Amino acid sequence: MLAKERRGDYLGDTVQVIPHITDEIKSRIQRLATDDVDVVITEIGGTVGDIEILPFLEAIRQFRKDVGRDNVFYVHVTLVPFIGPAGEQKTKPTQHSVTELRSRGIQPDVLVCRSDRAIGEDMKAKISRLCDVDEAGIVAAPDAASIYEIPLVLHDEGLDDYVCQSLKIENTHADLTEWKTLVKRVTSAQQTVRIGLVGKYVELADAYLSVAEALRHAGYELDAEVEIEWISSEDTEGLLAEQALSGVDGLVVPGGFGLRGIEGKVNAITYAREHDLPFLGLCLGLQLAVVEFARNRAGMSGADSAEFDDDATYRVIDIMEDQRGIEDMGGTMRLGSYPARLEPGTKVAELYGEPVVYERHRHRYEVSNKYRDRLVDAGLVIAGTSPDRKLVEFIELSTEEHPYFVATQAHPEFQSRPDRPHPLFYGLVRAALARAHAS
Amino acid sequence: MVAKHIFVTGGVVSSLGKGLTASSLGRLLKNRGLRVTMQKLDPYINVDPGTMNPFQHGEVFVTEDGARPTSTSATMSGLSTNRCGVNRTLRPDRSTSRC
Repeated sequence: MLAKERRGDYLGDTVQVIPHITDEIKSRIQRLATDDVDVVITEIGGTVGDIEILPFLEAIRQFRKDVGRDNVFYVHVTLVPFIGPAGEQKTKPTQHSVTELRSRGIQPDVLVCRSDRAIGEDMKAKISRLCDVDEAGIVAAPDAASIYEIPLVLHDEGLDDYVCQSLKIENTHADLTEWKTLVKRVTSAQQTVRIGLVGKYVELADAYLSVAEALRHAGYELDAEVEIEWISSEDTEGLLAEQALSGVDGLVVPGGFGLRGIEGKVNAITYAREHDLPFLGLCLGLQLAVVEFARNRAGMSGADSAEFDDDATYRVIDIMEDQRGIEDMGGTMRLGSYPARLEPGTKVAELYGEPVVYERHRHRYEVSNKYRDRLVDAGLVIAGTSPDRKLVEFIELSTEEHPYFVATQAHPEFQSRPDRPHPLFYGLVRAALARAHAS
Repeated sequence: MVAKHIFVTGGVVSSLGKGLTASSLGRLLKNRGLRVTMQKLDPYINVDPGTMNPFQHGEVFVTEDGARPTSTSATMSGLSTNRCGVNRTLRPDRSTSRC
């Protein structure tokens, strides 16, 4: 919008929150309602009552008027806390939150009530009465053991029936057989396997949510519960690596930025390579696996990534050619889905089972082509590259050398699904299980 | 059928599971044979979450088209839709030339 204003698109108008920003928001919502879509779900971030959220609430309020009452449905997620000393659940926060929403002109159609325990029928009746929402629209959503149970909980509460009825969507039946099978598999694993995840932000597991879920998805397929050992990269520096990693059956080094903790990650990879510990490197994880290999196997002492040491003798990871000269940090990386051609006969190709694969990327640095031959001569297997062969996308060590040492420049974790584990994570967990059984 | 719109808002506190609610509902509707798509509108001033600290917002999720929403709604997107690249984080003042 600022660019539009500078270009003069507003023809001298005073550009204001209402209508200009709200109109822009509405047009973005409308844009998703293409011919091949029946339902658009739009989540508004933040909490009702925030100052920042006001233009968004105004936009979705107007939206119902624009596209018609029968075509818009408001779901409000709220909290019903249990107060220990009083020994009861409280509806007041929900009431206040609904009052706030109404003061912006939005009457919710459904209240999804989050709580740490079940919400009784009396409580639902009370909330219904006080918030002026149909009793059928009060949905109890107590904490679930696994996030994959939530669709079943909401279904049992009649949420999808109520939504379809209100939006006058022809009433079909939700077939949840497959989903129930999945949830059963999630909760009934017969064995456990421990995977170490070495990162900078391990205190906040959400920072690696997709990686953790991708590991668990692979476990579901293999009838194993994956226990993730969160290891700070500062705890694997030097001789600490052995101590930190001796108890795990597999290792993941996920993506990351910044210098802190880099050496710890490199040391962890050395340990994995030398001790046959199944290893999967993602993005930065691949770059550090290459640095490690260059230093300790290819005789390039002091090898590093140009990102961390621009004066290193061997900059085995360097900035991509088309990234040179870019100074802005935001929105300038190689980003989104790109194809890669896999080398037949490699572990990676075998796991994917396809010659060309698409994975999502987010990076600025790459394996330097200057040292590629030297790394290959020392035994590094380039298992996949960009179609023009210029960018290294996958590396591995041969089966004779290591049971599972694989890394990719991409972020395969984003394509893993609970009912469709990603091949590389599947490979890691399978190898880790084999190691656990052997010991 | 004209596209139907469902808006999900949150009250009282953050991290209640708005994204999980939205994506779980998406999965239920999808299993009823409906074609569902999903997006998140996040009210902050960054153009996208690509440069934001994971400590504050969790992981930066990358979609097929390179748009980057944060937090749980994206990671559960497989629940609601397999149409990749439809998870978008939008802001009011983001330049239209970007998408």
